[in-house]
Amino acid sequence: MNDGMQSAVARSLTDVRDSMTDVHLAIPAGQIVARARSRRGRRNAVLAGALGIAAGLTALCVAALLPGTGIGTGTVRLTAWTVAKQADGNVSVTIRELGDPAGLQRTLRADGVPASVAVKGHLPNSASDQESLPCRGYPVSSARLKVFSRPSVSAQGMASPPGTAFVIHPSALPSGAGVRIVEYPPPHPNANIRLLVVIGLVYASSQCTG
Amino acid sequence: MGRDQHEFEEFYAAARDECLRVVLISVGDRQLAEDLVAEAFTKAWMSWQKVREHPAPRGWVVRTALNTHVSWWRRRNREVAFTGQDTAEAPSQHPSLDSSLVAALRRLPVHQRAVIVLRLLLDMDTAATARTLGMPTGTVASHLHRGLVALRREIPAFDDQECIR
Repeated sequence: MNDGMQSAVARSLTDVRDSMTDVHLAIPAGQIVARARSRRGRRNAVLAGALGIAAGLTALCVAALLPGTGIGTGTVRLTAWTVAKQADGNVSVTIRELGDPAGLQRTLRADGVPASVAVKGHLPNSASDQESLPCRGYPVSSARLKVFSRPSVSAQGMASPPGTAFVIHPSALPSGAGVRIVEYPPPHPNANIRLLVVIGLVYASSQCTG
Repeated sequence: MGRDQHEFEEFYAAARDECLRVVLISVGDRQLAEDLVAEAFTKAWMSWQKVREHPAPRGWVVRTALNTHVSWWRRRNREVAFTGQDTAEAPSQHPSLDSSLVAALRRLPVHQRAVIVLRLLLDMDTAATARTLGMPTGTVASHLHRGLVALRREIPAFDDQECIR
């Protein structure tokens, strides 16, 4: 019986597959090869950025903070991202390109958001990739929906600048929770996006969220 | 261009469409399937010395794409992803994906689905499937049987044949 059943299911599934003659992967082989090469290079670049290049940008970030009404208020704008603390205590974040995760993390923490920010070379593809992050995921709950929102034009008084924008509501953070932001390059060269930003809740700890 | 890259590009040219179609059947969304398959081929090139020796390189690519999908899905369950492009595009569907059989395939547990995809859609034998998925051949047979039992309900003609017998 198993053979007949297997043949019938196999025939039906292969009929579906064979009907897709119009489905083609249009990405040239050269792009796949270049992407792999870039990924190898990016691993080194991210490390270098974390250790060295970011230091200069972080100095800009601190300099922009101090002349305001005090550390933790005002707007910090870099090429890669903008952080603006609003009067109600919420913090709006716009990320335009991968870069200076250390500066973004420091700015958010200064604005009262326990945060971990990282730039990764590629989307996680195994449990070990996720475990390598220095944070432990906070259980899924409705709290996540209250902590993050998309900015509205009226709230900002202006249209959102180009980039990935969201608002963090620190008062909605559950006790013992922090924010994790991980930035990734587009999943493949043809993807119609500039970057992917994944945000979530994690258990707050000195190693993870400061 | 080196010999390895030439060899990989030949493999890519011969396998990419079939891998995309198989993954598309498994995940149901064209853009997602393209992302997953492109990611899997990127990894295949990065590990080409290993993949070229694999008994079923296409199976390796499809398995890697499906594993990546599971990983993204798990992550999505507890995190929110925003892209640099605010306009959302509707999922790209193919008319062939509307069948109840395909829907039932997607409802299968992850391992059953992977076994069905490799054994039936890529026509791999039990041993190659077991090696690709890293499980004993007996487990492959068990997953295949359970998956088939679940899917047969979606093929009325097959049930009719069984009744006639």
